[in-house]
Amino acid sequence: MSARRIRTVLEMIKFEHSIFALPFALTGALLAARYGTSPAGLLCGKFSGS
Amino acid sequence: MVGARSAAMSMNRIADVDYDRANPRTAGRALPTGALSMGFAWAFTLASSAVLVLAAWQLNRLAFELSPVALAILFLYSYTKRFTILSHLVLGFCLGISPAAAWIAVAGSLDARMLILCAAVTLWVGGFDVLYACQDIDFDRAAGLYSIPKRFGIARSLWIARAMHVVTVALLVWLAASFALPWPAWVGVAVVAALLAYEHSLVRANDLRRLNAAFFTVNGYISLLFLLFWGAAVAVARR
Repeated sequence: MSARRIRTVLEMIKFEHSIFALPFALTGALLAARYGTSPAGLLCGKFSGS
Repeated sequence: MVGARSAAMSMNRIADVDYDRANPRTAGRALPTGALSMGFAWAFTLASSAVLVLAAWQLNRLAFELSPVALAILFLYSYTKRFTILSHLVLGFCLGISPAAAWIAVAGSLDARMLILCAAVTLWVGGFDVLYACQDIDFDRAAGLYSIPKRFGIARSLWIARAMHVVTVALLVWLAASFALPWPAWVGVAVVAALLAYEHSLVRANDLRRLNAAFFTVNGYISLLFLLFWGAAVAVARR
């Protein structure tokens, strides 16, 4: 795929609009790592050093 | 998430291709002009959906089981403009489920408090979509599409968007309290509230010109600063 075509695809899917939801999703992940209770959550808590 | 939103946007463009072609604001998009073919867009939608399901499958069982539900919600949005003025809220909900989905990705279960954040993001995005829709009011009238500005007019729509954003801030306050988050989270809510107020100060019923790049930038800051302050709050929270 040419660079121009990739740019057209990124434009079609408004890639830059990821800025709206992505930080909220990351916040959700951080809250889960800190306050989630499952083994996966505890593991992420360890990795994040909390 | 990249898979989900790529599939959603691509599907949205496919569903709207005839409307986009007819609307001067959107006639230059890739599908109406033929820069990308419908076949390509379908293949891209399918591949992006597969990426989402595969990624969810690698995470945990609940994420995998809910991944088709997420796709259904995202694809549903594309058609809501045709029958309900609540389409703004459905769009908001498409983004609103992302923090809850991220919680599920990490924890493998859902915490009810994440529904508060889901509602906050839904109303935030729904509110600014109402503002954006003020630009399309004439086209929506001609094409028979449903929107809050078309139903209530621009002046009242601005008040509806303001009300939605007031509730957004109230929900963030509730969320910070429900997790008993330390002070950086409260500063974050105050910053979001201030930026929302600034956003509304940019728009007047008789002047939508500033509904442009500046508006996009403010929304970007809202999202990024929220992450920054709430990330800091999580980091300094006592065990």
